[in-house]
Amino acid sequence: MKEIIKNALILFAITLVSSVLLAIAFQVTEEPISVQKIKQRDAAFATVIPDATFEEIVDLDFSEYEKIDSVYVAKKADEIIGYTFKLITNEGYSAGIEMVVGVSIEGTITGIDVMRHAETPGLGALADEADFKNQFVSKPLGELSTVKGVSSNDTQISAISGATITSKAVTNAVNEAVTYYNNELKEGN
Amino acid sequence: MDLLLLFIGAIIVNNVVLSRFLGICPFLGVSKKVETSIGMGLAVTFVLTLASIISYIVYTFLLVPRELEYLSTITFILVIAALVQFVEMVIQKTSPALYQALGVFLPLITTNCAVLGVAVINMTNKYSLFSSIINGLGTAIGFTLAIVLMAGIREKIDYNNVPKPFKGYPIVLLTAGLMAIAFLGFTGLIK
Amino acid sequence: MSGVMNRLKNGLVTENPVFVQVLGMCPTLAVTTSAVNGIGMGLATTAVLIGSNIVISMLKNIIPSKVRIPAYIVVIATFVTLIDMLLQAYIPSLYDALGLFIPLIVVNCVVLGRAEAYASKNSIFNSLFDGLGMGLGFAFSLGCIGLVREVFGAGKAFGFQVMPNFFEPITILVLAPGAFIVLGLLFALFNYINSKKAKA
Repeated sequence: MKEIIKNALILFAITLVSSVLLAIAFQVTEEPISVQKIKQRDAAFATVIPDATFEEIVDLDFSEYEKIDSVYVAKKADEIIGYTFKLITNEGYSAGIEMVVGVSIEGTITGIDVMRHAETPGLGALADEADFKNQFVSKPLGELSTVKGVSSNDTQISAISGATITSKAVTNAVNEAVTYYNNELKEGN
Repeated sequence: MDLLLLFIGAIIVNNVVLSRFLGICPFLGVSKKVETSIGMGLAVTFVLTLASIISYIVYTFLLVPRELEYLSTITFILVIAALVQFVEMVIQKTSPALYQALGVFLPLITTNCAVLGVAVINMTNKYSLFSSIINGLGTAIGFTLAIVLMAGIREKIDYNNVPKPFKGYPIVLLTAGLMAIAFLGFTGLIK
Repeated sequence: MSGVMNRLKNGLVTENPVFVQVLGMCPTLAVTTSAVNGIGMGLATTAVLIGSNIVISMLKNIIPSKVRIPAYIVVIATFVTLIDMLLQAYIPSLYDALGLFIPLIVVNCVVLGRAEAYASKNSIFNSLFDGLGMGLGFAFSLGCIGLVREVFGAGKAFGFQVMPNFFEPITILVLAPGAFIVLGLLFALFNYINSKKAKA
């Protein structure tokens, strides 16, 4: 009995020291981590809508849009020129794909960028290459679909060969952002 | 319907061993005989399902309200270690034969990454309690399926004339590769 | 000094964690889709191994043998979480490449294996170099597997095109089955070289 208590106490002490250490490390690294995350996010935003300032729109309801993480309004000289969406989709081949989509108020997609993914190198990872991402630039704000081979019109995205699942996941996430824009953010709604 | 897809997906499409590479150590180490591999599969099924439930409860009701999410890895692994100890004691008392057969591999369930992997996947995908259980159970059945199939093949390999450098692990790994190719065929089943 | 070299050689060759001890198979198969990923995972594991080996060697007389496994795991998990947070805060580019694999180090049996087999019985100094040697051996093995899969599966080495244009990449090698097949073949090669050496 004595031994059990002694063992439990030692194990408890080790756990306690570990937790305290981690709590300290968390306090110390919390701010640099959030600074890094904002930097990464801003860098991704700047590639989809250059030279604008971004401001998060708070208090939005995303309950029907499970991939949308947050929405930002893009302004140039105090005028709204578009919106950027931060999205996380779990439809990819591997863990979640974190990406951003830009939409202009003129009714086109300004571009997309993939921030983090764990797709297969040489296949799904090509979703982060310009060849794939540039397909979305200037597409109209309607439902996009993926096709195998060359796309023949404005609503089609040519899927990465061998990585249909990744291509679909990215396209579906873009569609969700566009639907949200059309339903909730567009002028006149 | 979604739950059914999740369940089947966890068993065959995203088979934990052959496509997610979790739980490889017991898969290679305990798959020599069909009997022991069934025992290992059952032990893992029990631990994995319980671990999914307990880590969900601990994460949702203890860590999230106190904003202690950064302690999740350490908490999950402790939950798993305690569970394994518990299962070990139960098996030792109820079935000494199984205990003998599983021997060193029982404590190793703690470091069976399938168990921690599922707890982490449940957390990052924000599964509900019920989905977590389904995912845990499906993953465990997938593990059992893979390890029992492998054991069946290995019992036969023993009678074959394998080139010398391929004896032991190499031929087992190549067999696993061929099984993985077969399971790759299920990819189109869901999505 | 010879002790240090001995520990390093032991980790890299004599008791190579992947090809001799067959430990840490999960990350070995999962992250070796490219050479860089393999080496990165190997180095992150090295950092955890050194840290946990030192601490466990320090505590070897305090930890009762009955609760040693949970105690070791807590120490390892603490180091993994620490490295996760530090990389995220100060070396974000490395974190981007490795982030998803870091939590998996907790369940890498190489780390727990060394704690149990070496650090809990040896001095702090030797344990440090044992961790370093094992870690480098692990990183080297993962790098090799990753390189083979990258060159034949995607036609690239460290991200640069190395195969001529007419070479059609064997895509299956970067997919799940390729991991098993490449590792199996490298294993056979390792056995073959060893048996040649034994004869000579």
